[in-house]
Formats: sequence, C-alpha cells, structure tokens
Amino acid sequence: MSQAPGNGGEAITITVKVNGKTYTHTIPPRMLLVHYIREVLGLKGTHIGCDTSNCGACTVILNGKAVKSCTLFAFMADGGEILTIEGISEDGKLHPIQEAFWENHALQCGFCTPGFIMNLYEFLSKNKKPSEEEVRRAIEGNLCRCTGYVNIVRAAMAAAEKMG
Amino acid sequence: MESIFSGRYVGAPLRRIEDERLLKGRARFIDDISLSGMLHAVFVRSPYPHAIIKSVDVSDASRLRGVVAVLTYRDIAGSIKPWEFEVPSDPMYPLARDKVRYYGEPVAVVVAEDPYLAADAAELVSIEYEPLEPVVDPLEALEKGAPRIHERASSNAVYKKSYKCGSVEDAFSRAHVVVEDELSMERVYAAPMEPRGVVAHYDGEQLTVWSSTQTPFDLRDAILEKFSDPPSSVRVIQPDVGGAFGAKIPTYPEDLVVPLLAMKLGRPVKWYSSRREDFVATVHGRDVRARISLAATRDGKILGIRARILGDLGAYPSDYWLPDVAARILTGAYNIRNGFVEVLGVCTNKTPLGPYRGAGRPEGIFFIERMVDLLADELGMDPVELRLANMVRPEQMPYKNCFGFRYDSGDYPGTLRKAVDLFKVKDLSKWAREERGRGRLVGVGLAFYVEITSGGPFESAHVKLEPSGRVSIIVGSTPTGQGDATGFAQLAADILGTSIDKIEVSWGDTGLIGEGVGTFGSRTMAVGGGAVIKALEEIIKKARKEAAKMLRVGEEELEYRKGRFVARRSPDRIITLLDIAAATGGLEAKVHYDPGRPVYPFGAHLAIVEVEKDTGRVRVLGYKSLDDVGKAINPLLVEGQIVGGVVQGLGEVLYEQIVYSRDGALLTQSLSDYGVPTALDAPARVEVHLQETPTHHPHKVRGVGEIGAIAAPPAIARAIEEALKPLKIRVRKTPVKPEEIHRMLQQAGKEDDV
Ligand code: FES
Ligand code: FES
Repeated sequence: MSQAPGNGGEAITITVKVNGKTYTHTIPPRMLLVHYIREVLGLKGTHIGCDTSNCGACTVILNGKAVKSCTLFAFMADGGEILTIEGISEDGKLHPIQEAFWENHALQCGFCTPGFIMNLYEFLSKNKKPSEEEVRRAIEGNLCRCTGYVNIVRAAMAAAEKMG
Repeated sequence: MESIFSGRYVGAPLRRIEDERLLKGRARFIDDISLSGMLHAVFVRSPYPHAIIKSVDVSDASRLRGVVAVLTYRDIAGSIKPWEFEVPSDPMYPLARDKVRYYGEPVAVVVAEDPYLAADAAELVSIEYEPLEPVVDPLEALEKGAPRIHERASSNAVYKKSYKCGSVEDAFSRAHVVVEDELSMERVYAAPMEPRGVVAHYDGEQLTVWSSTQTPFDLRDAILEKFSDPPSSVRVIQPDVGGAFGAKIPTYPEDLVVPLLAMKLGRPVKWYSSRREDFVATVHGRDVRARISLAATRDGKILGIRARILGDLGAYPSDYWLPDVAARILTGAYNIRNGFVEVLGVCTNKTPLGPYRGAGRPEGIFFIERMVDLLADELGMDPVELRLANMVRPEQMPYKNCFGFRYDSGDYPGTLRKAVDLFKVKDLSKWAREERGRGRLVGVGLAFYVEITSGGPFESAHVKLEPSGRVSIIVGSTPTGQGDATGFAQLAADILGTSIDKIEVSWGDTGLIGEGVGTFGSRTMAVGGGAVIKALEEIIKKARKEAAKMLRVGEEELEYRKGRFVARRSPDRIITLLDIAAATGGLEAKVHYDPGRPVYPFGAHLAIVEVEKDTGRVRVLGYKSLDDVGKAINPLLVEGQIVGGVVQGLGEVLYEQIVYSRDGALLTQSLSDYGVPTALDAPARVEVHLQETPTHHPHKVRGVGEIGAIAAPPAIARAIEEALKPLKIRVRKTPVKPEEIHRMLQQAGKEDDV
C-alpha cells in the first residue's frame, strides 16, 4: 500500500530500526505505524483489534516505551527504534515472558497475546518485583476476551520472578 | 479396547501444542493473509435503521484513482440468492435491495487497490434514503400500528410458540404463595478481540475463501447454494481465529460478497472489519426478557411455573430459536411438573440477534435462578434449602423437563451439597453478615445451573498413522482458541501408546476434510473428541487384522495395550502398531461420530462481591465453581474455559450493554463505550472444582465451553442483591451498571441512612 497514489499528501521518507534491522521507506503521511509494521515490513504478529485505541493488540516498543502503534502515524517513528513480538525471542529461544504465558495457559485464541507481552516487556524491565495489583494496573489498557486475565496476571508474576 | 484413561496424557494439565506460533507472533489470522495483486473492500452501510433506498450514485467514488469497482445490489442481483428465513419475513439481501432494516446494513461495496483508498471512496458513494419510522423497543414493536419491518409477516412477532406440561391452573390454584417478576438480559455483543474478515481468491476454477468463522463447511455450502453460477470447486479455510464465542457461527453477507468480488474482478479481495463496523455488522446476543410466576407451597415446594419469554430478534429472524432455548431450559435444575411458557420472537430495527456463548441457556438459567431466590426471600427460606427441596433427584435420571429437554444424568442435590461444603458457604455468609454489620456492602451469591452440549448432527475425523510413526489428525471441529488440538492429541497419544510430539492436529479447511460441522455449543471436545476416538478405534481394528495375519493367530487372540498387540496365550508374540504401520504403508480411518443425543453439564457457582458506596462500582472479591464437566481431558484448558466464561458473565452483569438511541442509531460503537471488562475488573482468582460424572460419549466428556457465561450472571446478581440487602434492592436485569447502583444507593440514602 505504500506506493499507492493519492494517499493523503506528499510521501515521506523515514528510517527506522526494527528488531535490530534498519529500514528506509517512502510512505504516505497518513499511514499508521501499525500498518507500516504489518504491511510494509510484513511483521504480522502485531495485531489490530479496534479503531479507538482501546484493545492494545497493536502494542510495540518504540524507543523503550510500550505504545499502541495504531495511535501513531508511521512518520512519527522516523529515526526511532522499534521492537515487536517477532524480535524478543533470541535464536528461536522464547523470552521468559513468552515461556511464562505458555506455562500458565495465559493465552487462548492468542490474538491479544503479542500486545500483552510487549506491554509487559517494558513494564517488567522497569518493575522487578511488582505486586499483582501493579501488574493489573499495567495491563489495564490491553483487552483479552478469552482468558479472564487470571492466568495473564499469573504469567506476568511468574515472568517477573524468572527475570529477577 | 483398553481404557483411554490409563495413559499418561488424558487428564493431565499439559501446556498447549498450539501456543508456540501464537507466542512468537507467527500465527495467521485473517488480516495476516496477503495475496499478490490483492484488492481491498470496504462496505458502505446504512446510517438509517429503517429506510427506503431511493437511489445510489457511485460515480464520484468510481472515479477516484485506485478504485477498481463499486457495486450495489443491482450489480450482484443475478449472482447471489438472498437469505430466506424459516419464519415469516422478507428475504435478506447480501447488499440491501430497496429497503434497509437496521443501522449498518450493507448497501454498497467499494473495492480499491489499498484499504485507505477504499475508505476514501466509500465516503463518496452517495445514497438517497427515504427514512421510515423505526421501531427499536420490542414491546412497542408488538403494538398495533407499530411500523412493520417485514411486509411478508402479518406482525413484528414473527415467531410464536408455547410449551406446557401438567396443569398449571391447578398448580396455581393450590399454591400458598405466588411470586411474580419481570426480568431481562439486555442486548450484548460477543466482542472477540479479532473482528470478522474475509479474503477470497479465484483462479478460474477453484474459489478459495478464508473467513474468520466457526463454520467453514456452512460457508462452503452457502456459496455453492446461493451463487447462481458457482465455481466448479470451492475451498473454505478457517485461519487462526481471534475468538468467536458464537458470533462467528452465522454466514454473513460479507462472506458471500467478497468471494463474488474475487470471481468478478479476477483478483484476490480482502475485507477486514473495523471494530466500529463489527459492532453493527456482527450479530448481537441475549436481548431476552421474561415475565415469570412461580407457584409454591408454604414449605417451599414449587408447584408450577408460568412464563412469557420475549426475544428481540433484530431486523432479520435468522436465529429465532434463541428465545425458544431460554424458554425450554426455564425449569433449570428443578423438578417442576406443571408449567406453561409462551415464546415470542419479535423483529425490530436493530442488528440481527445471533448466538453468543450459551445461546439461550444463560437467559433461561438467569431467569429461573433469580425467581428461586425471590421465592426464597418471600418464604424466608435459605435459598440453598429451597433449591435442594426442589431439585431433580438422581433416581429420576434421565429426566425429561417440563418443556421437553431430556437431562441425561447427574446428582444435582448431591452436587449442590458438595458445593456448599467446598465453597464454605456458611462461613462466607456469616462473614458477609458481620461485615455488613460494620457498614461494608458485601454479599455472597450462589447459583445452580443445567446446560446443554453436544448438539449438531455429527462430527468428523480423519486419522492417519504414517509408517514413520507420525500421526496426523484432521478434524471437522473448528476451534477458535479453546485449545482442543491439544486435547485431541492427548486422546490420540494415549490410545496409540505414543508420544504427544508425534501428533499433528489440523482443522478448519474444507480442502483437508470434506465434511464437518464445527465448533459451537460446547461440542468440540465432546463430539469432535468422540470422532477422534472412533477414528482411532477404527485404526486399531484394521491393525488387529494385520497383526493377526502377521503373528498367525486369531484376531480374538490378540490383546491391544498401549500401541502393541500381544497374543494372549503366547505372550512372546508381540507386534507394535508402528511395525504394522511400517509394514502396511500406514493405517488410516475416516469417520463420522453422531452421539445421537445431547448431554447436560451442571454445577454451582459462587460470587463474593463488594459494592463501593461512593461510586456504585461492584468488585468481585472472590469466585468459586464446582462444575460437572464429565471427564476433563486437560484440566488446565477446562479451567481456562470456565474462568474466561465467568469474566464474560461478569462483564454482562456489571457493564456490557449494546445501546440504541430511540431513533435507532447504535450508540455503543467502541470497546470502552460498550464495556468489555479489563484486568482490573476480573477477580484475582477463581477457585475451580471439577466433578466428572460420565456421559455416553466414549471418553465420558460433558463439555465446558459455555458454563462460565451461564452460571456467573445469576451468582453475581445474587451477590449484589445480598450486598445491598439493607436496601432491599432486587436485581432484575443485566447489566446493573455502577451508575444505576449509585442511584439506588443515593435514593436509599435519602430514605434512611445506610
Ligand atoms: S488496535 Fe486496538 S489499541 Fe491499537
Ligand atoms: S487470548 Fe483471545 S483475546 Fe486474549
């Protein structure tokens, strides 16, 4: 979609580092960051579940902060560094948060899962010993319709423990 | 055959074989499908709930650069047949023909090179409507002179039926006490985190359709049946589905229009719904109200029930049977032998009603449980004692209820007594009383339910044991996140005596398995699992024949255990399944399993809540459940289903509601307006207890998918009522939102200080 004409003004060239790799693309100014990640870079693990920034399925790490990538234009990430769900397991080895989700049955359909994991990725890197209540507050902006959250909180606590 | 329960997998809380790709972001949901040359479709939807379409002008939209086609009903009229329903009503066209009947009904579709352009062009389609008076309230829809929604129906009450047993007049005339109330479960939306979507590709011969659906086989059949010029071959693929909860059972207009576009335009086409669009374009659930009377003796014997159940079917009566299920399960777990229930299905100018987790059972169970609590309060009886005194007893099983449902098995009173013990109901109630004495608004509520699973005609399975020892299982079931593949693999690993790593499970592809039914009504592990077992038995039967030949003994001489045949009288004659598979080039079996009749899970749930005085907000402090799910193939998954369902039920009681304005516009179009619960709303933990009364399925499964959504509303409603006991407030409907409770608290505060 990046090359499509008439796409809301003059195209912009951006350079971003995503999962350790640097990309330069020319994109329409109105392209959302989530569409850039999914459609231009082909990283489909970041999902779209709403159009009102409620669900958090699109959460990625931008310059060290968890953001909802559906609320940003792609050009706003120019010069920035992005981490997506595809970038957190090293050499095919699952990240401790991914492991903990698996062990604790914290996912059912899995649609919300990358968003939760990326949000917790930032949260747990800054909060080494969170309380359950703090975890709940941290993930309030991510919705899950399948699990009822109990196991997601459990997984987050287990991951916090593992990550020490 | 040896018991499938003696292996190491069945019954173990294994982590799921599905998860690794989901965790790595490598799943393939509908929006992840990209085909070369793919176009994007956007639907233009009616801003009116009821209107005549005077004219449609697509010229501006068509002229926009990047737009490939703009179609209206006229362009597809000869190509797709409309839906005709089983009850009197006008047909539903995939794109509205000359009239729209709900806000959001699709009228035109724009196809463009990218979704942004398609959305731009959709804004340029100009449609002239002549608005008609809408009717939004089903009671008003019943009035004489109400706007008529379907010309072919003589009234908006398109479905009417009644059921009865015994003599209800006699019961009510004998009664010492009659309690009566009006109750409702308001309109809700399933809100799976992934909205719906469709992708289609036509290569000149085969049409391939991907749809975020629970029913790929239905969709394939609908294409073959409704396309006037169907392709020679249709393959429907269900990709990973991001939650469904019943709302992805129906075949929708977009499921047919997008494939037709792909055929007409000769290029792949994708449509992925926005959330806002999903709110109007995906069926809503519940929206059933009831007026109910119970007749009882002074000492608490329920003599009879009289009820009128009214369902708001929305604009098209595709799922008119929903209020009917609510009516027929209305006696719940109780032995009530005199009853009369009248069911009405009424059309209004709203999004069509459809199945949502529980589909009729949550409504019926909410109604009867609320009525039994009301009766207990009226009689001054302990609600548990009242329930025990009226329950169907185990020796009455199988038991045909007043309105024709046949409960298969179970000890209801025994289960309730066990729940009261396990949950420590006495201690909890005492604690709540004391806390209320200190001014906290806390309450404990208990509910008992019966529910139905294993419906639908059959399920299919195709199992192959490869010479290499790998096992491939293809099922007609179509799970959408529940984890059934892991359960199926557990069954197979134990029956074949192999490691679970050797097993691969596939589903959701009409190209892999020709006939199947799908995942809904808590049937997947029950009926789908039954099919997998039948197929495995078939393989073992074939293997036995081969083994007999190879070991030169009679078939009946052979004993099968954990992947090996042993000759009974000469135990040194042994051959493994693997040897047989290797020698024969593999073994396979394709089966259909039809359980013949449904089974009925049952159990008790308990909620502990606190109402915040200042805000009216309800917090669920604790939650406990005892459910008879039959054999739990994987308790981890069973628990996941219960907890997930409970939190959906919690949302339904405390927040969720689809709201229409009086003139028929949908006001709740975002997840926050609508009120999907967050992590802060969910209980910290759910104490899950399981009970395993066997059923007639080969693996004794009863089913679990909908239990939480059925049991939680009446349990939480009662807990709120108890918390507000000093105010004598009754919970008559779902939801009871914080603002309503706040209002009640303020009112009561005025009358006397709480
Ligand atoms: S897609 Fe829902 S918050 Fe971004
Ligand atoms: S696992 Fe399905 S939405 Fe969270």
